[in-house]
Amino acid sequence: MADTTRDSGSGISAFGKASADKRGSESQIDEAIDLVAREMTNLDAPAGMRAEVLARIESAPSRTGFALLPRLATAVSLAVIVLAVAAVLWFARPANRPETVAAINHSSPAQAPRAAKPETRSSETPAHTGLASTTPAGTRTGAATGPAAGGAIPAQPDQNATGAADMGPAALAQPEPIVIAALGPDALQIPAIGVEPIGDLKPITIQDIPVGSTENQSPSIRKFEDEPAPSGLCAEQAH
Amino acid sequence: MSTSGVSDSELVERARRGDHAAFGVLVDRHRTSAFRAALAALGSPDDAEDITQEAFVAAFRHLADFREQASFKTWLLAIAWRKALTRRRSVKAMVRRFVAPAEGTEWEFPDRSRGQERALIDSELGAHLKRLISGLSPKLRDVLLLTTSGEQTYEEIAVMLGIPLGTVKWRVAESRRQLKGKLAELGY
Repeated sequence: MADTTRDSGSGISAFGKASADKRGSESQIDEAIDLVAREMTNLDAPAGMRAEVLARIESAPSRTGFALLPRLATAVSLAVIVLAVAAVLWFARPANRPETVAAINHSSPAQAPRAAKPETRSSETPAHTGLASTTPAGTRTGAATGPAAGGAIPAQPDQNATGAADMGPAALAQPEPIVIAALGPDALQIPAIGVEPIGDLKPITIQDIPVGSTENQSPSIRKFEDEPAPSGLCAEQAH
Repeated sequence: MSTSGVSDSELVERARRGDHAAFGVLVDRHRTSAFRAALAALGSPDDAEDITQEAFVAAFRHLADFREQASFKTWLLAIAWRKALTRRRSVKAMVRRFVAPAEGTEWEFPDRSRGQERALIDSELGAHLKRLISGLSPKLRDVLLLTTSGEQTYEEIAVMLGIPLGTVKWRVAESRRQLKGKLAELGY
């Protein structure tokens, strides 16, 4: 594809000596390096390059759109990969698996009315007692509702409501309802505090103390008064 | 109209006005320099030819950005060099290097007629040097090949590679030092 025209000049003789006895001088090694390195790029560009370049320049507008195709394809491929990875990660979460989602979708319509209105605790109660005995919603789960609730059929799990019959062998069993007890401290047990009435009060007798008497003073005060005043202190401070 | 005595600047100005023939003259003038620079970076004549064409097309499209702070040749070589480096770092080029059978054999030497020079290069020392030059680090090998090609001055190479002139000279000297050291280990 390319013609080569180059004369290595005086490098030939130096190179020949170097390769002949392997003991060429440093300058001969330098010339050999130059010769080999020059040989590695010693090619002329093809003569037809001018025509090819001009052809590419003139066809550039029409090539622009096609040149974008690989980039567009790459971008689309990357987007698809990202979406696929995101979908895999989303479905990998247990709460987002299709069977779990289906179970939730099947069970939600049946459970929603239960949560919306009070539910009879037992279908037999109204018939036998005639009392409108009700319990708050959510205290009973998995029981039959709808038409079966009005009859005398005992409460049993409704498989249609849970969708368990539709699930394959790999499906999980109907999860037990999670009952979360209310958190909080137990009620404080405070013993009753009784207040007894005050009985008869005896009168307090206070004896008169004569002035200057030390009879009822504490011993420490008495000792302090017996000691002499320290030097440097005036009589008032000492007392 | 004859263009033999027309300067590059005049041809660039004509090409800016849409004169494709004037740009064709620029292609003829500088195709070998750009081709050899690309060959120094890539080692493959086919890749070098493709890169050279791409560089000329890119230069034509960006002629309006050419401020003539450097010569058209230097500007063109810088474009070609950047494109060659991009190609060298491409996945395809990396795969080609990984599947190369042995060190230093990935370089595609020009397929020229077997003359006296070729016979000498095929000798033992020439074979060692080919392998050692191919085994140099890309930075050292690039500068060594560009300087020995004789198509660019040291200053042009510095502008082309975007490095100081002193760095170019140091890399040339370092590449020669390493080659001589390895040749000495081989008994030369």
